[in-house]
Amino acid sequence: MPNKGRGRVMAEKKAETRSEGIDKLVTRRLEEMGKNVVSQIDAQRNPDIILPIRALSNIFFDEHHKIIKLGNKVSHRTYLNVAHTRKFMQTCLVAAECKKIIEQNVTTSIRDLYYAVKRTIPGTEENTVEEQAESDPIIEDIEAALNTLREQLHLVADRKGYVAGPITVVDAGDEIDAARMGSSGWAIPSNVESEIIKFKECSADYVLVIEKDAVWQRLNEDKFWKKNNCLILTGKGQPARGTRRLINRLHRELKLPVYVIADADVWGYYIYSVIKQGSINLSFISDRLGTPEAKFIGLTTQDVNKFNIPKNVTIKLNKGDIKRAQELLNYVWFKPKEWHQEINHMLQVGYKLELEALSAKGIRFISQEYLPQKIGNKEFMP
Amino acid sequence: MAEVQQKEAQKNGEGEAVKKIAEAREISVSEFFEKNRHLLGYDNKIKALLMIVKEAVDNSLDACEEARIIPDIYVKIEELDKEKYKITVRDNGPGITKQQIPKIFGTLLYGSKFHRLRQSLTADEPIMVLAGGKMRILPIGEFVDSYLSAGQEEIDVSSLDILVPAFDWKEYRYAFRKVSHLIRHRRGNEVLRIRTTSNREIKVTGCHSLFTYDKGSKRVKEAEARSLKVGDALVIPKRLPSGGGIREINVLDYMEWRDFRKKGLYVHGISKAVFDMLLSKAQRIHKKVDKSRAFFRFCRNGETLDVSEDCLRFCVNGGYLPLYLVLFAGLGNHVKDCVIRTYCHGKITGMQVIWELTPSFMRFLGLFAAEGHVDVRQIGFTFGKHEDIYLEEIARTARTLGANITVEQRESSIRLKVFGSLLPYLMGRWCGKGAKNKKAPEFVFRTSCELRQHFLDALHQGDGHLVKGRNCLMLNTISRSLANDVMYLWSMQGIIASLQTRAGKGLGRNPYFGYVVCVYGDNINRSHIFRTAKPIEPGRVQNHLAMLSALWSDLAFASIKEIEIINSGHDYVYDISVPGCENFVGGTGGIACHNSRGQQGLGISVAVLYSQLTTGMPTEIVSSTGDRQVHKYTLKIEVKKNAPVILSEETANGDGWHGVEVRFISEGIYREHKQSVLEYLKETAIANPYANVTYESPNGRVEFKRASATLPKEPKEIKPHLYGVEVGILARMLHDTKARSVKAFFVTEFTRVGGKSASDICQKAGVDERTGPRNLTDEQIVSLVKAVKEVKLSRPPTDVLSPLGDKLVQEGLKKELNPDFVTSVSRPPAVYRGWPFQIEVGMAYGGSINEPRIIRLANRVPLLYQAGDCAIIKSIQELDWKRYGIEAENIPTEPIAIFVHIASVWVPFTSESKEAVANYPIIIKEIKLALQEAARKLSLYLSGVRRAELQAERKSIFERYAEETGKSLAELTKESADKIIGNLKKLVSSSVGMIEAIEEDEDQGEGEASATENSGEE
Repeated sequence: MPNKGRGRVMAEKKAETRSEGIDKLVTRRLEEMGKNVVSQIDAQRNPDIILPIRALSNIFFDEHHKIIKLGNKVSHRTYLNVAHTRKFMQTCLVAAECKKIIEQNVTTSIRDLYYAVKRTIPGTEENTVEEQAESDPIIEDIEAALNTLREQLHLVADRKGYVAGPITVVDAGDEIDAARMGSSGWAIPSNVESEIIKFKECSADYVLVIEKDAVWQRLNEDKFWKKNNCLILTGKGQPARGTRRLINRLHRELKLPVYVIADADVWGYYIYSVIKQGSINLSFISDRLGTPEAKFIGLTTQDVNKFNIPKNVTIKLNKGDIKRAQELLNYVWFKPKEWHQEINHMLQVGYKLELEALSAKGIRFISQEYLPQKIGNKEFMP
Repeated sequence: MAEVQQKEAQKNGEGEAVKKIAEAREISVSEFFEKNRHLLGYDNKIKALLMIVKEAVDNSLDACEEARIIPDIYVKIEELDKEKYKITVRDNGPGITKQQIPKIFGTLLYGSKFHRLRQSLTADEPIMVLAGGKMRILPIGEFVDSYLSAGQEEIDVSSLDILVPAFDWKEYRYAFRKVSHLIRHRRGNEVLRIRTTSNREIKVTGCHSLFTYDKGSKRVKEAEARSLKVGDALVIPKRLPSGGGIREINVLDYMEWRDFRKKGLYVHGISKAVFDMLLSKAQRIHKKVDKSRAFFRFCRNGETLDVSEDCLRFCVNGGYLPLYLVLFAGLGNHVKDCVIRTYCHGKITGMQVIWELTPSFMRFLGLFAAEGHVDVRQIGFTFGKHEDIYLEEIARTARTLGANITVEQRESSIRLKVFGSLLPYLMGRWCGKGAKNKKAPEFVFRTSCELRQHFLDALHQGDGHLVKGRNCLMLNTISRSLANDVMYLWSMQGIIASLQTRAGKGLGRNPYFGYVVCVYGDNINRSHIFRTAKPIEPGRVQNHLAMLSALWSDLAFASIKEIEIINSGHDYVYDISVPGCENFVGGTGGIACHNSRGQQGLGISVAVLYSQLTTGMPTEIVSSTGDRQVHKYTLKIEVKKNAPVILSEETANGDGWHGVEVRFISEGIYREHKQSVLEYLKETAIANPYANVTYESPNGRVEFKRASATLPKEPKEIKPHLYGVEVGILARMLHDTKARSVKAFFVTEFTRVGGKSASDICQKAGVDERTGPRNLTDEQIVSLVKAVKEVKLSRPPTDVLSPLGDKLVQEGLKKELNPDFVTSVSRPPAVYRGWPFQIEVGMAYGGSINEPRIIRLANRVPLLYQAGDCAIIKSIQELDWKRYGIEAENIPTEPIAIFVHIASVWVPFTSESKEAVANYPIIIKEIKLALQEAARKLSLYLSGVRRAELQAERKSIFERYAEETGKSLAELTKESADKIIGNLKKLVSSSVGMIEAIEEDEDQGEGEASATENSGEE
């Protein structure tokens, strides 16, 4: 979701750990982009900015690394095109603002940036940007165009995910034990790069990623992580990139297996696929965000029979579900036959179900029976 | 009404006005008027005011134009009292003299609808009609009701080719003439049953006119039924016209498709072309989703019939079709050479589609009408022992028709049965089922005299006899319809028969009630069989009437024996309108009935009557012919006498002004909304830009100034043009013409047909050009009509029409609407039903036009009401405006004024209030062609305007973002913002023209620049 967070300038002191080099590099790239445009204007040519296309048509599935990667198609954003002019202006505006932030060496939220660039165009009632949904994609455009990361532009998004379990991290110098965070867990910051977050100690056997916060709370209350010696982590729906980066790091650096449980519906499956392979939108940094080794525990519609889940807790598929399911079948990364089987099964039985539906079998069914059985027997989907 | 009267009384303080109103209202005319206002266009008080102005202004414009005077019209409306106005209309026309006043203001009752609506026949009175190619004698109520919807009082049927026998006023000859209107209304008067000495009988409203002989002037004249006395002579037809002299019939014309579903009857020998035609009209459908079986769907008048494809494929291969499908699809005329087949006991029996009307077949029908009866599978004839001579004759004829027969001897009679799959059905349809419902087959009326006589002879042989002693050929029947048919049939033979009724004890309990048709004396010799040597007995017919009858070509006279007044029953009464001749034949046995004149519009007299009826005030007319004498008349319409009465007359000295000023004092409500006097005058000013119209309304003075000093060309009268003449009309004209040959007929009766074209037409139709016009067969007439289309004739002369011309159309629109753009299109003259017409379209856009506006005009007169029924609106709605870049929802929604003018010598209006043009396809086509051309011109203009607008908008977008872009770029590059912005703006203004091309190249790429994936991530 676009970051609607009530962000405020995170008045950070200068992070000693931040590499001065990266800032310089990024600034230089921003300047180059500007100079390129100006030289075109000087030459009285229609100025354009070359942007990689971030759409389904320009991504491919890297079979070797098992992640989604950005292709090399580009689009030209030109000034003398009524459909582009406004975006062109916004691109320049955001680029200039980013340069300013980097030069001032502060970090702001993307919402801050939105307000920073928002002003009324003289002589009109039009604003440079009307809402955050307009500025957010521009930031991604610049990230992709300059081959940088949002964090390197000194921008952060809202925090969204939580972790609980036997892990101790150092967050901006403070030591935090995620096993002692009470009922709320440790909130995953937007930037979890190693400059900010360092893993100090971890005894967990695996990471359990849970789509829904409510289920995470259930498991936290049951101290599931203690009994099963694992980390439980939620992204509250589609995980933010910080959460995804943390999952990636936990796997890469601590070699923890990653298991995902999500709703048995197309959106749940897609959340899993984003965790595993990365997203189309952020395909240019899939290698940092994706965790190809993640495994899907459930829910699947096939579990309904396997676990004798009452049919009355299932939900009938609507038109959108069916359409999306058919789209999923066409994605290369849903190619494994197990997934085709599952999606076709869902279409065939015509229902979906939510994680909470497992409560129909008793409130602790999920923590005491479902998960132990699945993980114990390694009943995973690829 | 009472309220108004009271108010009047209070205002005047005395009873004067009340008295006036009471006087004007005592007559039932006012009541009638109240009920029929909507027909006259005076439905409500707002509209009434407009109608008065409209009639007066239209009259003034016509008068000026006729005199080639450039019109100056002055209109004033003053409010005298609540809902009471004085309306003054003045022109600068030639003026009128006292002698002309009755002509102009007094034509109200004579020839107007007002007159016509009052006279009528009761529902059960038979009339003779030729409709849909078939001749019928049926009750007028049944006939009219079949055309009118519930609650409808009148319908224009001029396009339907309904003909009735009517005599003309020059030679008094009967011919089939066209009916223009069918009318039904509630009975308001007494009903009279009038019976002649020969027992002909008719029931009419007291005010309905019949024809009588005026001894004084020795002329035939119409007379109100209530003025007739016993002993008066009544006009009856001596000879009715024959319905075409057909010699063969298509039996399919007498079959109803529903009666033949699943009957196993097939039409064989159908050609490929017919199949192609049939299938081209059908729609191929699937009834189930799985699309296993395909059906062909045939449509007719909203009914649909589905036939499976497989079934049809068999049919196509075998060259046959099921009978019901042939009937449903109306292929009757395309399968004339075919055979109807059925399988009887495994044996194929066949029957021709076309039956020749032979003397023996006519006799067969006659005997059947007399003696036959019909069952489901057979028809039977019952003869007495002495009548066995007919047995053989019937058997022979039946066999030629492909039927089998059996003979059954009974004690005192012989029963002959005829079997054949279709014969019982057809006989039932033709001759009626059951003795009381017997009738004469329809085609007997349309065949030749000779064949008709064979039918009559056989009928009389079966059911009648020659009474030697009384020198009389009698026919006895218990069927009223058969008796009546026979009366009419004899009339068609030129014989006046007489009718008698006879009551008897009958068999069993029921009394017997029968009819006897008698033919006397010499007339009997008209028969092929019966003979007499004696002339009509003296005393049988009154001498003076017999002598009179001999003098009048197709008319005869009968003496009235009895007049009976009926006051109850007959809630509805009926009438038909026959333009030109104003008469038709109706009643039992046939009596000439008068009807009224059809007239386009009602004119100013209704305005006089309306103001008189609502306020009791006379109309003032001030006129001068330019001789410095100004005459002032006050005029009222004396409703009882149907005539205008000049109440007072003054003469004063004038200043040389010529023209007419009319002043009405009328009830009304003044509004300036859409259909108002103001709008009407504005549209009039647009349509007549050479007229100066000054209007003093209760809200102030408006002047519509003249924009041109040229009058349009004067229209001339012409003959019809051949294009657009239909079979029915041609047949009638052929019958009526004085020309001796077909060629001469074409040359003399039509415009723009020369000797060569006429010969060409005849040659193409394969008709000898020397053939007498009345000797043509129906087929020849049809082929002549077809041939007309192949011969290139000059367009009708344009000087008969009075179009405005492009210049006037555009000037009119410019001067009143002040648009940004104006265009006009004049179509070449075209023809509908023989009348030339011409369409002019004007289109204006923008300027002071704020909303879409449609100006409908017929002969330069604005049409304000009944837009929904109008061909002009229909054409506008049918046009695909979006193709021309004009936003539209049915009609354009942009600020466009659409001006459509139809100029014609005879504008086909949907009703007599002249408010909507009838939907003739050719008229719609012409309007649409003109609209299309004008819309193309407008769209060229609009696309220029829009391109410029778009260009400007683009430029403004590029300029709008230049500052922000420039500033940002300056920040990024540390260069001077002003320099960047300046350069960017320079770039924008220098390249605006090229931009479109650039954008088209690029659009595809950037469309995808941002992620389209709805993955829901941050």
